[in-house]
Amino acid sequence: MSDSEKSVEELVSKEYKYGFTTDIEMDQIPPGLTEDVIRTISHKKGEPEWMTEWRLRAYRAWLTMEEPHWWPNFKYPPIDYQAISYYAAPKAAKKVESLDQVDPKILETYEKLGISLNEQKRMQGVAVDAVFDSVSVATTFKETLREKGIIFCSMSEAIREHPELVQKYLGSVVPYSDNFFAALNSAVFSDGSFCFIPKGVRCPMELSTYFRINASNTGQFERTLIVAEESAYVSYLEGCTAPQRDENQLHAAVVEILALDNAEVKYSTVQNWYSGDKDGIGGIYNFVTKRGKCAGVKAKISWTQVETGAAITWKYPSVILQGDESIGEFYSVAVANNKQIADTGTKMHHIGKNTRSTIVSKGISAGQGNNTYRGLVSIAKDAKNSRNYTQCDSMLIGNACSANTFPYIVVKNTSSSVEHEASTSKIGEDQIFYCKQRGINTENAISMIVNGFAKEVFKNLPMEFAVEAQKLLGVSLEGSVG
Amino acid sequence: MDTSQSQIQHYKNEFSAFEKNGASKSPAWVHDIRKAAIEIFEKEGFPTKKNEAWRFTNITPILHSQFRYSSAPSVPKVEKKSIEQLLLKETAQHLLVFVNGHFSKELSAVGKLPDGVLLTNLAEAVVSHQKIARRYLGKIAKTEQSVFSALNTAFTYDGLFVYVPRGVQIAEPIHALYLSSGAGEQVYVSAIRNLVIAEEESSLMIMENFLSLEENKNFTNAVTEIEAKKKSRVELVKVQHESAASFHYENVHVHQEETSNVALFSLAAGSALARNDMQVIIDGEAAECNLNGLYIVTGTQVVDHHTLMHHIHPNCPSHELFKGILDQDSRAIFNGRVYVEPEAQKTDSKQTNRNLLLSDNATVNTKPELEIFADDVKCTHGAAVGGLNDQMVFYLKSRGIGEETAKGMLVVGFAAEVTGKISNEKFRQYVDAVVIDYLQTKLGMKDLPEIVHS
Amino acid sequence: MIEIKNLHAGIAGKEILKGIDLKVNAGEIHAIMGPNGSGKSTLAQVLAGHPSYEVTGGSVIYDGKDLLEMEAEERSQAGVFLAFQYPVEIPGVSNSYFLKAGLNEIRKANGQEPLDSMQFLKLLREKMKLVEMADSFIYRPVNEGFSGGEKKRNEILQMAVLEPKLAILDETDSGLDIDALKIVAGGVNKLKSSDNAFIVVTHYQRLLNYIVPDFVHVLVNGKIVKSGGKELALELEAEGYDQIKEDAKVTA
Repeated sequence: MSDSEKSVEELVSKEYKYGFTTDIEMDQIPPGLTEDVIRTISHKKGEPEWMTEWRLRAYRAWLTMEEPHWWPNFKYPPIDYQAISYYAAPKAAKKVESLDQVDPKILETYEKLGISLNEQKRMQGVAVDAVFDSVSVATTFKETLREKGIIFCSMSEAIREHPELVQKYLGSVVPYSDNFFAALNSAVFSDGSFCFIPKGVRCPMELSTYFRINASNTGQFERTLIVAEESAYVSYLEGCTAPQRDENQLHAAVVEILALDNAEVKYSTVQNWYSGDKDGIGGIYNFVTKRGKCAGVKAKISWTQVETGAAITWKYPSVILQGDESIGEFYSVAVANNKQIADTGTKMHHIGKNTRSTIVSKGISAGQGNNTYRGLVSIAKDAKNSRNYTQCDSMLIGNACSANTFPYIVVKNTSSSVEHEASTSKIGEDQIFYCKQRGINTENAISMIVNGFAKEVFKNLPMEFAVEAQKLLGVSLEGSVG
Repeated sequence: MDTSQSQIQHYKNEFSAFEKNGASKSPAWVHDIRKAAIEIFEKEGFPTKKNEAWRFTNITPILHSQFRYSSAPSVPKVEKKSIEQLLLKETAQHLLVFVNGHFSKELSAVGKLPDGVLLTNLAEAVVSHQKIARRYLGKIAKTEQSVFSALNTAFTYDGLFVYVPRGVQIAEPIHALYLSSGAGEQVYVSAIRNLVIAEEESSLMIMENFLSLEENKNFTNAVTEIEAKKKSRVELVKVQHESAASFHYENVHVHQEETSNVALFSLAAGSALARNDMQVIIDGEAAECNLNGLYIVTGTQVVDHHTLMHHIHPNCPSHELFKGILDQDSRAIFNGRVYVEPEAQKTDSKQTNRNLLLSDNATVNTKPELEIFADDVKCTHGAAVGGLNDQMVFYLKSRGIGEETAKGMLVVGFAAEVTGKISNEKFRQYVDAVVIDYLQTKLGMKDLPEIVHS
Repeated sequence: MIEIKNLHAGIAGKEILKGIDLKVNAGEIHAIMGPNGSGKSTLAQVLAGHPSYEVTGGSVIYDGKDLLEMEAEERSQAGVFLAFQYPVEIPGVSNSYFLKAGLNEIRKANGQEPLDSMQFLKLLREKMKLVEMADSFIYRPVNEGFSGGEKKRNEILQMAVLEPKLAILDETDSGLDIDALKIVAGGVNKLKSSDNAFIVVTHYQRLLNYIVPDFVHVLVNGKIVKSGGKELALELEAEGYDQIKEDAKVTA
């Protein structure tokens, strides 16, 4: 029996346990968005002129765009972008040289979240960048990584310390004009993580960023950039939580990944933003742009995500398979319980020859949740001998939820093949009865069956993340069966 | 004024002329239906790529011709002999022929029918069987869903009309032949409107056969309404092999009551741009629907299928298989939507779309959609796009079969799976023959084996 | 151990069991035989507490408790085991995980310490020998991809691990070849003791050559129409159910 399975037995806590707030003095700018606000953010972060200009260009592009209300199957109230504060940082957070200087309240917050920033206490083999509202508060194991030539730091620091890299790669995969939320992010992003793995280096540990929204009336707009040079390898983890609040908060992040020849990047997310209460009050709007580009031959980018939180999620981590023989993967488990809306999927753009992509999506709907897989697989004319395999399974728990599947498939040559399979089924009454006959109660039976359903995805997560994910799955389905 | 605007004006002008000419004899209620539809058409205008339902289908070519609605006297003469050559005699026991959208009494021949069956053309039915026609015409089709349907409705005049009374089975299939023909420079649009009503426990089989007499350019804009009452059985087989210069649009609307069984098959082979919209409302418990289709395109042809299987009630199975064969620079669009309402428990729905690409310049856009609001259902869908399987070609070659022949066998086998879903044997033979002929003459395939079904 | 009195039950408003009376003591093996559709499987499902079946009358007292008032898992925890006619597949959940979860729930309910992974694995391996199952079954998903015989053997393995007081075998012999049948029966015989009891539901006498019953009951049309010793099974095998059906009609 594996350890990940054990965790199911630990399914005891049934509430959103990350809903607390940290009482700390904040440097928060007044709500509203103008060119001056952007200059202020840029100035506060001590950015060079080119960065300020880039933000302003993004802002001007954003002004010309319309807020998307793409999907006819659900609506959300318009967001008042002038009511959001675009910068919030703990006052003491400036210029932290070592962990000792980080506000103990923040360290305590992360301890409570189960993320220890103390390197001695930290599990071996994981380096963490902790982002608290708009700023990165600490990055661990920096020195260890630096010896190998790996740069792992906050985006703010990267702009200051490695401007040539940031200038070269920022926006190269997701241009600021990409879409409404990406443009907004480009204009106002406050922090995020930057990873650079030089040629031939295998990153010796998992890199991880932990995002925490704390302040109210703020949005979180983080920006992550990962560059893996030739034959480099990195596995990157991202976790997120937010306090329980009655109003909706906007999270519009951008993640860009670039993989050169023979490089491999594994990106895993366990997303557990506050999802709102049973009646759908409050919760995070999770509108995120994530894209990777396999720029070189035999490059590989793999997205694994477990989406259990947020009131509304729109997220389509994509891979541009430009290099010949490059590989894109997407593994996803998405849960929509109560009144959650999870609209997620991926885009695989096959451009190079002999490119491969695999998509495995497991959607679980419960309560009045709405779970949608939306994806695109496109195979260009010159992408000869390319393959895609897609499998989308939906599981329904209860009779007030719904599951949708909208795959777009475009194929333009004969030597490639695309296969899409999807199924929808309810959690079997017979399965539950069988478990009960063997002494297992309904709640545990459901948790067991659902985890079995999602196993194909969990096995792609790094170990401790898989454990976390399984626990979350049980918690997020709490009370879904009467 | 842009093309779209000037075309709207063009059709409005046509409408005025149409209402004054031959169509003026129709009863007042038909005029009312037309008038409401032309208003919808004018308001909606032609769809652009921004419209999700037309995202991959560019209709601009249709807007570049000034298609006219022909009035009955201007319909070209067609020789009866030339028709006989086109059909299998066995499928033509009850034959109704339409030329450019107008019924031709001379070319048609209806055999003996059971008592109470009404089989005639719509122009006649709205006068002679006014009560039934009025009850159903325009009630099954949702005109506002598609601007082409609205346009068809505005020009509603003629088409097939079938009414089968309670408990009556029509043994021999009904064959509706829609011919298009040009007249010099003039290009015509046919607004074909079919109405099929199967009362409780009745059964019938229909073939809709769309053909061009020459390589002329024409525009067929058809709407078919089918009402299947409790325990009725309806099989509709559509064969569309119009000229490569023509445009084709048909919207088939089916409304099913409990325990009814409807089977639709569509072969789309002709036309520069062909679009089939098929909407099935399964509005009764334990009703079954089978929806199958095959499209074969080459050159710069574009073929588009949009299907909807709408489950409202419990215990209904639906099966859908669409296959496509694409050569040269052709393009196929498939959008299959399965919608399961909260009350439709125990729905068993399967949808499959498979595409075979024979050329690197061909493109497929496929989008199989599932929208499920009931928890106790079994719904699956699958889509696949690819070229001929090298391993299979190799296997055949290793048995001494030449490459061309091997490929031909595999293509025929690919098509046979779906034509095999046609339950009426005569129809199936006819469809198989059209498929083979099309593969040979249009796709240039040689030494094709005969299609056999298990 | 269990006393069933005038039990009436059905599904979707249709009555299937029409007054069953049956008493089973510890140390006994009872065989329930009968033609298709007589209610044999319904009886097994009702005793295990399947939610689709509705009990409309009568009582079932198990170990001094009202069995019908108990949830399915409570019955299991109290020692009632059903070997399913059609074992359910649970994709993605390993056999060992499933069984360990069940065993520890049962142990917990009975005030015993849960077994840790090592202890459990040791126990499982022992029991697997009993039904001659390969080690690989430990890690395969519950019943998924199992052949019919493998599924039935898996049921007996689960029984061996959970050590129930009352085991109900629902057509465990159906779909088994003779070798598998011997293995399954051998497993049952090794588990049999003076503290437990078995109800063996079967259509054919064949299984009873290997699991020798103390009592045989014939179920026809929802009622036990005849009871006797093991020789009754042989009688039935020779004459078929028709005669008994006829007799039942006369008495009804």
